[in-house]
Amino acid sequence: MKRKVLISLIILSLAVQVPINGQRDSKPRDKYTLLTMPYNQRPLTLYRGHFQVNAGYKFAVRARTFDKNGDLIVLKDEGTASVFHYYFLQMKYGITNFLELSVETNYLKHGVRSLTTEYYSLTDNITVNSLTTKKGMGDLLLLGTARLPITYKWFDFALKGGMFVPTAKYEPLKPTHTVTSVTAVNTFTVNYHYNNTNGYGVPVYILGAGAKFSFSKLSLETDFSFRSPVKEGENIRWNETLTTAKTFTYSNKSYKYLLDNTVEFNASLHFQATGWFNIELNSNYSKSKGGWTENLGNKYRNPEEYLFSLEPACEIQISPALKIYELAGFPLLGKNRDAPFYIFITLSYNLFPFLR
Amino acid sequence: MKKLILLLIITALCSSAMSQTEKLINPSDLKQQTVVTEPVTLRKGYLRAGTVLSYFALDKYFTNEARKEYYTLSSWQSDFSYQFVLRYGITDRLEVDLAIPFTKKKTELHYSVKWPGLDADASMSGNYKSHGLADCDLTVKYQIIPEKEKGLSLTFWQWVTIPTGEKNFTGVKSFTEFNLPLGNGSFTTGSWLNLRKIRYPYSFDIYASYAIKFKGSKEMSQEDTKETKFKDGNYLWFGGSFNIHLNEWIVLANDLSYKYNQKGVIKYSVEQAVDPAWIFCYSPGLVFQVRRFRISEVVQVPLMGKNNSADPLYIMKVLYTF
Repeated sequence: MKRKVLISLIILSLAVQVPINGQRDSKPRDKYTLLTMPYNQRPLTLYRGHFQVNAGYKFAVRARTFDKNGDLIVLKDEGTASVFHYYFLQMKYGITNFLELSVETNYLKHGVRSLTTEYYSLTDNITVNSLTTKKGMGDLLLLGTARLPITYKWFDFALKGGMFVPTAKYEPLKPTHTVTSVTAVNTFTVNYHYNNTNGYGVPVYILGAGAKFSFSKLSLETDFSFRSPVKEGENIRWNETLTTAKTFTYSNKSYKYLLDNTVEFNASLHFQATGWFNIELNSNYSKSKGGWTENLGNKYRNPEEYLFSLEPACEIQISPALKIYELAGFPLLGKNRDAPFYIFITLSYNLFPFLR
Repeated sequence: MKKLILLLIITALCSSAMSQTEKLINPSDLKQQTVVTEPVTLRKGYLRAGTVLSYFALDKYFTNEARKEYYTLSSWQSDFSYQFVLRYGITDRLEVDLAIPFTKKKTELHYSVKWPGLDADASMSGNYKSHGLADCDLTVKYQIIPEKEKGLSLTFWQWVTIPTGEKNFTGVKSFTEFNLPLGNGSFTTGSWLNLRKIRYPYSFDIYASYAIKFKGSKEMSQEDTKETKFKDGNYLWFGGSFNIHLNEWIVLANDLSYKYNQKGVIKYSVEQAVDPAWIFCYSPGLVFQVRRFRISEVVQVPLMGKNNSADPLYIMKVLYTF
């Protein structure tokens, strides 16, 4: 009998203990607390009902590139350095505390000049300039992220998956070549101007995973993603002919291509200096290979490429609704890839539209 | 009666104590006012010093037909400038500013020459640099209508640009080896009127300015052995800005401006006209007020224009109020 009473008492005490603890854990947190949650206390996804809009601008100076041997080529020394402007828009919504959906797109403007060449003969003096621009909206990325269904304390893990929907124009526009500085029949300047666009042309799926560890004011976040095209694509290539009237006629031919598979890995160390200020050092590694491009009926393998960059960054909580992220990128190692220095500024607007 | 007198004394003492508290102004707090809340000119005895960094890379331009085009030649030009700025409040309404800019210019031009008939080719390149003092600015600002709470202020500025920078090409060894000029080679003076209203957390400005460019002379190219007289066109500049506090110490700044340069002239043996030019820019930025430090990040984006550069200008200011 005594034993039964004792067991009943233990069960009863546990039963009392559980709701007490449960009560402590499920304390309601108001939206201002959630909106101003410092980075080292935030999970990998948004909270339930949390809506976030991120708008960013990236300015990059493409002054260096890595060649096929991984050697650094200074493009300024060849007169072919350039700048690019990248605009970014992303919207995220927390369906539950463990599931987030996002949609994002971008707009790119970039012009690359080739080496100017002058051709001389007894009768001709022709200067050739070449410019290739890339301009336009990027594809729409739809992404879902699910994290562990636990309250974030010091560890979090998430899986993500989604797809780039080929909403953007991907076929290059007709070139806009011109002939200028015509001083004689055979003395003139030819300006080749190719107009490329920003879309992939085929659906590209993306799978990834991320993890986060926090220890007091320090946090470590890593993520990995894999991108691969769903199928082969078809595009056009423009050809031009210079007429005797110093104008161009154009024709195009279609060709097939397969986009590269890309893996990307990020690892960042964060320090929460105060509640509103977080600084981080991110390392980014991306590698692409496996694609091919058709030319004159033959398939040519795309060169394998990779890039490793260091990115110091900071996050400032301006108000409960607003945050700003600033990041600078320094490419350190690479192969067959441009190595631009870049600055990326993002404003983040946050709200709980359905929570009072 | 005694009780009534006592009550009156107590009430009087209380009211004076309250008014005393409200009028208490800490001078160090005034030095921490933001770009929205502080007056247009510095208060008497205040000194603000710092540096302004700016960068741009030549990539695009507005044509004579106001179209935006890329430069097509295989070249690269960038300008990085760091300017030392001193601002001092002589009285609460009168301020004097001095800006001493140092510029680092870099132009690289590369091209290839081929002679197909001779089966020969050559690479040509020019790498032109210069680094040093550019043209300095001296500005005097006076509040005609001083800043008052919820009121308007009207400020008049008069500035002079002094051609302290080297105006000619130096170190000319060949047509591909020389130093670029850093200064313009002529004086400029301008007047500026600024109308401002603060309605916390916002501030609004409308401004108009006219600048006169004086005659000067300089070498127009590295091949010149003597200076040529010139006169740049005067210019008109007007616009408005809107600043908003995002929190107590961060301000989002927005500025729209229009600048019109009149026709200039270069007095070669036959006079050559320099075409008029105009530009319409939008400049968003963030201004952080961290105690007495003021840190600004601004991007000047040319939206439309004619005969002008179409490249963004990136500006970062770090200033401290003593």
